[in-house]
Amino acid sequence: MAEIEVKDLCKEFTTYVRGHGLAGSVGSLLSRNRTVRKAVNHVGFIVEKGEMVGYVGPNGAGKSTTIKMLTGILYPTSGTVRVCGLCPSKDRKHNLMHIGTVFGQRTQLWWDLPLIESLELLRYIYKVSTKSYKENIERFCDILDIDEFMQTPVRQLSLGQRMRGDLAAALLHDPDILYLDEPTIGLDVVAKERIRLFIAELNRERKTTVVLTTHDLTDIGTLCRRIIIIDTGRIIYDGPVEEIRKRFGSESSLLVVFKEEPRGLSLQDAEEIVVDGLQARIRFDRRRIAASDLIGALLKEYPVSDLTIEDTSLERIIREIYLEGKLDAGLS
Amino acid sequence: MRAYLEIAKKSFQEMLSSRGEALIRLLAMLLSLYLLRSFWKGLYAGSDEVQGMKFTSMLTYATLSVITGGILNIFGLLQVYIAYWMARKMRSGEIVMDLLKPTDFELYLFSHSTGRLAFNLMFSVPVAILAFIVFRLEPPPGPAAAFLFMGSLAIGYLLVFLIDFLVSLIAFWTTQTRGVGGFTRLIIALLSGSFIPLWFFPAWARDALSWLPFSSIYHAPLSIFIGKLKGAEAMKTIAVQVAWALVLFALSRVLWSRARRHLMIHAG
Ligand SMILES: Nc1ncnc2c1ncn2[C@@H]1O[C@H](COP(=O)(O)OP(=O)(O)OP(=O)(O)O)[C@@H](O)[C@H]1O
Ligand SMILES: [Mg+2]
Repeated sequence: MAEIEVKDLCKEFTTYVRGHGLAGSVGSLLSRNRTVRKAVNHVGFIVEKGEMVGYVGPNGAGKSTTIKMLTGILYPTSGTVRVCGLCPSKDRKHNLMHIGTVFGQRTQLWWDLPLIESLELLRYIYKVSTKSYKENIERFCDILDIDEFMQTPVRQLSLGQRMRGDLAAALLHDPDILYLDEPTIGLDVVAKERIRLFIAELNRERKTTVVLTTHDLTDIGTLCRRIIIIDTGRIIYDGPVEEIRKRFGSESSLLVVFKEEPRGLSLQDAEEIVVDGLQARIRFDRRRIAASDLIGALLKEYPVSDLTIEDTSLERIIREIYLEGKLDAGLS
Repeated sequence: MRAYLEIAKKSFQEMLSSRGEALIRLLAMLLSLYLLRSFWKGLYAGSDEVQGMKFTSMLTYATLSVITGGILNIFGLLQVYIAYWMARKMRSGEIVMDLLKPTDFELYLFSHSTGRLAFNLMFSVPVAILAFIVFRLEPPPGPAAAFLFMGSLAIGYLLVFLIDFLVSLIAFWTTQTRGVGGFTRLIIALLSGSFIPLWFFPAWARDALSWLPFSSIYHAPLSIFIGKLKGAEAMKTIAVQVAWALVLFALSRVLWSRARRHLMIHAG
């Protein structure tokens, strides 16, 4: 049995549009304009035990809404969610005992108390045995270094520290599934890396299933083999990260520094050449020409002092997918 | 069950960490005690008894009312406490984090509230003792009255919690409780006998009010303490209190499950 099974999931939100200005406000007291927004639109996927899935999409795509339905705190408008065979919104408590959730924008920690107090409380809420409580705290101290600020009131923690605290809080009861909604939001490079390492290890050692939403595609690149891309409530891609790179990342750039200005620089198989003084950026498609051939051709005609090949980053690919709906043409 | 005890403990610790606020409340309490004493002293104007109410009994009542207010602490600055807190959580979306806990939300809030209660007791009781010595007030007429007083006060606390919780649920629909919270605060202040004991009201009003839950909060326990309410009548009052607690509890279960449903449909 798959750990998470989502079938034909839809969520509609009804909002009431208020008029502008005073007249509009008064008017909206009398009659309100109802609009229905489809936040999640016929979404379906299956996640197996131990998988790490990246769930990405532009702002407002429906990521958080999906996560909330998976955790059981939001009813679907239609469709089904099964987590370990149970319906999370009906078997609420049971489901919550087996999952851990971090919403990067919020915290479950007690604001005015030292971090350790929140963790201690969770130990009783989730009925964690003394033994595994001790082991887990030790583990979190080791990898997340939370011992540095264990005794500090949460409101005094930096964002990165707080996020580590929240991760520890979500994992204290050794959940089978971890939902992470933007766990690296607002963090610096080092803090992000630390959190990624921790999640990777968690998945490797404990086989914890991870569903991760993020706007930082480095998170996905380093953690997930599989990516689900959602846009305006619909899934537009679900498959290996590698596949996306292969399909859309065949474009690379060659950065060249010449010894003297390359007058009238042209190469047959290049897609685009931008010259700037002694430097040039040459875009090419690996499917049309191998990098070695292109470099060979270049070296034959021009005096080159330095060369670098730049692969299209996952970030750029995704950006293009968001912007151009590239997948519509590419996949379906 | 242990979890709920721990929640109360954490909430108590949280209060300890805001000692500044506690100090301000302590001062406010002392000041109210002083002002109320002057007020009633002026009103009695040297006479020993007004409308069958002895001055010392009245002063005891007024003092206890301030102390009870300090213990229950239902009065936030502008509205009842939980209602204010819930509206804030609804507006910020923080409520999601509470729904993610595998606990009973009402019981969670009750434990949290009780942690505050314990803290309030800790600094209100010494003030009460001090006031009794300085103002030379009367102790309850006997051990039975003292016992009944505590029982009645405990049910009063339950009622305050339930009323506050019920009002707070409005936030699930409106994300605002300022109006209704302020109104509740006013109603409780006026109709509970917190400031003016109910026997100064006209007979019909007193009778009507004694059947409402608000009089259970101040009037019932305080009247028992000063021996104004005793015997069968005291038992009847406590029965009314218990009945209200049961009714409001049942109502809170129904409304809470509706509020949660509403949230689970509409809030993302
Ligand atoms: N409670 C709500 N009421 C009305 N509309 C909502 C509600 N919650 C979300 N929406 C709408 O549903 C859509 C999806 O929102 P959601 O929060 O799931 O997006 P997201 O993918 O998480 O975006 P982001 O990357 O910005 O976090 C948005 O258009 C949003 O405006
Ligand atoms: Mg989101």
